[in-house]
Amino acid sequence: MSEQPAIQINGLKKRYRAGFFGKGFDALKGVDFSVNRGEVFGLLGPNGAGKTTLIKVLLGIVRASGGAASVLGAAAGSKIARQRIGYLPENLSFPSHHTAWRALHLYGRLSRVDYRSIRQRGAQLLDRVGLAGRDRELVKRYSKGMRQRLGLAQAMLHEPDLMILDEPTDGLDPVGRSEIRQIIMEMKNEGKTVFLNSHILQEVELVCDRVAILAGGKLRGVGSPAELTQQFQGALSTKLRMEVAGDAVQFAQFQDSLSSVYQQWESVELPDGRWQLSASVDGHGEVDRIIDNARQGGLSIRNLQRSKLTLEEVFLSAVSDSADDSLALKP
Amino acid sequence: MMKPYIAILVDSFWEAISNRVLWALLIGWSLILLALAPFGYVSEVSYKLQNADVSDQKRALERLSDAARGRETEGLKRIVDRTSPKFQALLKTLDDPESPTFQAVKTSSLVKELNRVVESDDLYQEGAFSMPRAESRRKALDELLAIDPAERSDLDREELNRGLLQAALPRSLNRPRGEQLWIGYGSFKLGNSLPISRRQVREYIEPLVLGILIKFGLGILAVMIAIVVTSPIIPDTFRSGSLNLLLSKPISRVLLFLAKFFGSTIFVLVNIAFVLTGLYFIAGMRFGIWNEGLLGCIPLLLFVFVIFYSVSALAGLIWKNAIVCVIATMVFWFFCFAIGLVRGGMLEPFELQTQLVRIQQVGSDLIAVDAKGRMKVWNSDFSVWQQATEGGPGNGAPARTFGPFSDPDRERLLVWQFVRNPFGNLRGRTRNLAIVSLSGEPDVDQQVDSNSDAQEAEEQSAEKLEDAAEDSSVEVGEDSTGTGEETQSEPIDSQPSSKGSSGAELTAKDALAAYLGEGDDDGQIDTPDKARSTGRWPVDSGPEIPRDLFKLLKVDGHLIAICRTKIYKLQLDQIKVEAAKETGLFGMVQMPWLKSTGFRDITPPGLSIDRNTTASASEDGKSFALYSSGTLDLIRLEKGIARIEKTAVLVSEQATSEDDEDIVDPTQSDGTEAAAVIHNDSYCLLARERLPILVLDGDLNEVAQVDLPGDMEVRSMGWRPGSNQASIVTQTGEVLSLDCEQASIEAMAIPVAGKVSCLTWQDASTAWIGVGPGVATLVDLQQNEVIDSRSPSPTVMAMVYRYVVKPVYTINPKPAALDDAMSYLLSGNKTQSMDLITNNLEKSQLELDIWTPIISNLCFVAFVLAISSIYVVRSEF
Repeated sequence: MSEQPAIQINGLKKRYRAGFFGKGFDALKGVDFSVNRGEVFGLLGPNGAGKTTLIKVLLGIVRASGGAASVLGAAAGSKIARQRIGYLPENLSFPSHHTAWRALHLYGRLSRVDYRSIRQRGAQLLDRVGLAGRDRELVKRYSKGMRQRLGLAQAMLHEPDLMILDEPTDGLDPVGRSEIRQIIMEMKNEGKTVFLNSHILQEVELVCDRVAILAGGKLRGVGSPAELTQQFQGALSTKLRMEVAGDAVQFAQFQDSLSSVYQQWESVELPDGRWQLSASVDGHGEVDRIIDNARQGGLSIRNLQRSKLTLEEVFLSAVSDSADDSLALKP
Repeated sequence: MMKPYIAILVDSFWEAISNRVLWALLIGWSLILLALAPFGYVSEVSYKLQNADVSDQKRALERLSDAARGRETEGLKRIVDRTSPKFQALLKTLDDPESPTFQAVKTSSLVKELNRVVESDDLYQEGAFSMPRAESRRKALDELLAIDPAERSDLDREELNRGLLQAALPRSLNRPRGEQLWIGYGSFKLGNSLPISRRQVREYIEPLVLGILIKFGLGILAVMIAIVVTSPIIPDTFRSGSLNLLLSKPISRVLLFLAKFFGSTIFVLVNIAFVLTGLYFIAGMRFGIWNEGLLGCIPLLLFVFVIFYSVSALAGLIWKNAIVCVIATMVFWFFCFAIGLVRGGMLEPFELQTQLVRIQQVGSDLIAVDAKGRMKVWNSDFSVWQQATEGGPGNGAPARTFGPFSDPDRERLLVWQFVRNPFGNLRGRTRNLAIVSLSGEPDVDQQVDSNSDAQEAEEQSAEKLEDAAEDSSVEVGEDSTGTGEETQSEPIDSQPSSKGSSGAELTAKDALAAYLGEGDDDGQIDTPDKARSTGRWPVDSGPEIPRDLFKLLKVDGHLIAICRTKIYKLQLDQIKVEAAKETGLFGMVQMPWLKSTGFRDITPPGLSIDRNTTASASEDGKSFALYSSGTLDLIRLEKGIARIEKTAVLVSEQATSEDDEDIVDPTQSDGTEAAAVIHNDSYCLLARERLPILVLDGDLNEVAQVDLPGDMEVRSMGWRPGSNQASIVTQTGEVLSLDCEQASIEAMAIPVAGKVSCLTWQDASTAWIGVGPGVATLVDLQQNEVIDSRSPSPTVMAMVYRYVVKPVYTINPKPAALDDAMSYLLSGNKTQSMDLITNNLEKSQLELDIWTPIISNLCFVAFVLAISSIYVVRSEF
């Protein structure tokens, strides 16, 4: 029997009510996806997309209005589920009287870790996140990055199976972000499932096995970054760079044929009878047509390049109003 | 399972410890405790006088000045000779008590001079001083005189001289106390010595001071500071940032909230525990009082905080704003205060003062006196208590009423009343005994001109009532000039007077009322309100009551007045209506004093009457028992002369002496306790405050000591007719039966529910019982059934109190009412005197309601926490 996914979400809906007479607001409008065990999964979306709401549903902080969600085989929000989740919230704040050790003690005990384990694992984790030597200072004197690292330490203290990280690198410098990524990869190597929510697409691209794009409470796309770009490649324009050689008359004829069809192109004359052509093309068909036109015009193709779609481009496209829902890949 | 929540509590502890405000408060409390620690009292055995020892300065100066001019006894002359020459010269000039010089003499100066006498070596001379009447004091002086003067210690000399001073000026000086107490700071004495005993300090002053310190210092100040300091805790916890992390843990939201709530109390717990533990050790090490009640107040004060904080926490959950929390708490506090204030203001007039303290069947009329001192008669037409006479305490302070005494031969009642004015002094509305004619007709035949009656009284009495007009009063009638004489003033109404209903002249008040047209109606009572406010019988002025009255009794056809140092009597058939005097609107006599009244001095030799005195007539009405400062006398009237039949000294030496541990034995009497006494042919019962009831036989030998169950206190006692069983009404409203023969006490079964305020036997099986506000019930105690009940129709305001104010108060949380529980913990007493120091056992004491506030406040806290828990569960943060 195949292992159950770490997170399974089916038709999840969430409607917030605004008092007796206020209009309700649908934060989630039927979201479906799953997260496999042992993978690093990224959740992307613009502000107000419903990412935090989704995480809150998974943690039981808010109740779903419809649909279902399960975490590690248990109902989302149940104590059993929460016991096996390590959570790093966005904008985590610690009480002013906490030191690193006091914070670990409190949150460790809340996660039902015994004192001995807190002492042992706490020391290891503080060392791992780079806070050894600063563990007796008051947390209010920590930098933002240090607080994030302490948050990560408390999330790992009880050896959870699933880590939910909300903006783990938010406010960190590149070194800090690199360290966090390192830790995430280590967690993955340990077999943990990591579900992270981030605005920094490059970070997500670097660490995530799969991502889901959420916008307006709906899922816009889910899959690995490569799958998403490949999928969108067919639907989105890409840049074509071509270097051709020939005489001026032949090139002029070629340009005329292009102008009648394409508006977005430009050319640069190169020495020795060569020209560089740049054009936005939608799909392979257009690439073939341009090559055919060039060859029919007697031009020789010296170089041909087609740039890959970035995740950012996929993301931006996905979250725009015109995005097609059916693009979402099923797991 | 509870480990995560314990972790929250532990975390709250660390949060409190790391709070700078906590440390600032602890330092502040430490400084206050250090400043308070040296306070205490300094005790000294001394026979020197203090200002408080001079009870009648005017009289003392008069006698000393007479002695200075050679007109007094040899003893007084020797006293004057030992004062300073300047003082002697001054005394010789003091011939007019009204002169400014006389009145300018300060008490401290007199005391200073008398202390020179106390210190003198050669005051005593055989035959110069008359020995005191009281045998115990005479014996004490004899023992001191027996010591060789050369071998007499300074203290012995002072004690001897003080005793001689007392014998020479018995009514001008208080009895020497021996041990004197001062409020002290370290070993320094502050001010003058206290006019109360060590027992009274322990019994009343210390719980009062502690109570004030705890109530205001901790109960209000510390709790309010704690509310402000802890107000951000719940809002900060339930704001996102830290909340999401907490809610992601596998814990219950409700328990999370509750753990945070109770964890917040740690801050105030540390404060309260610190202060109260400090007070506990200070009281223990300074005074030897290890009062565990102080430690018991810790959870109580914490509970007070929890009540307010529950409101703050709910506000914090909803609005997540610390300032709103504080405001909500203040609004709640104000609401509770307002409810308490309204209820407190209505409690006395509608519940406490309407209790009946005396019920008497006089012919077909049922007469009662309520706790306010109002004398009433039952009006069966309207089912209300009607005023027996016009006038009375009205809406002012309660009065003390002596009587009424029934004079059936002349169809009248005799009663006397005084009130306490706003400045705390006792002032008689009039010095005259009130004669209430039950026939409704003026006592015309009994009227007499006041002057001729005074002359007759002078001729008849063996010893005139001395200085009736000149004594400055301790108990009654002290006027604002301090001279003891009531001021003369012009009548306020200059209109010619006319004959009134009594056949004597109309008072100014009546004339004014007639002028304004008041009372123009025909006097018909046609509504309950009119019935309540209209007096049934006319009242006339009888003879003047002697000053310094402790008790008025009816014994063997006489009215007996027990006064300070003297006993007087007046035969009932000699009590006549005096001529009406001009009085002002406030009932003050404005005519000059009479020089004497009809009361005759019958003080038996050897009798000592001091400040703490009570008395009662015997069951057969032929004798009376008198208890004064530890001495009990049975006195019988024989041919108009008072004779002491039996005497017992019941004060304990151990109670008054200072032992090494500086501790007073609370089971022993020092003679300063309030007391009540009753006796019949076979037994005498003496009830003293906080002590077992003494059962004495006819010879005043102790038969048994009977403890009242459950820390109850006696309010009144009465003999069951024809038996040696006494009924006891306690301050908490229970009725007990004491069997003198068995020396046993048990609860008496009565067929009425509620707190009993008085019980008057009609015969061996029936009695009138006062229960609740103004209800008089006639019960058959053998059959245990009600025969008759007089329950007055309530006024509108009484109904508002009973059906609106009282229920609202009952269900409303009442943090301030926890004071009762605190008082109980500090003093161990279930009742509390409404005076600073109890000196009248019969006076109603407030029963401390210990459990009702605790239960109602607990219910409130549970309710608010439940609402908060539901909010936490249902909220989506």
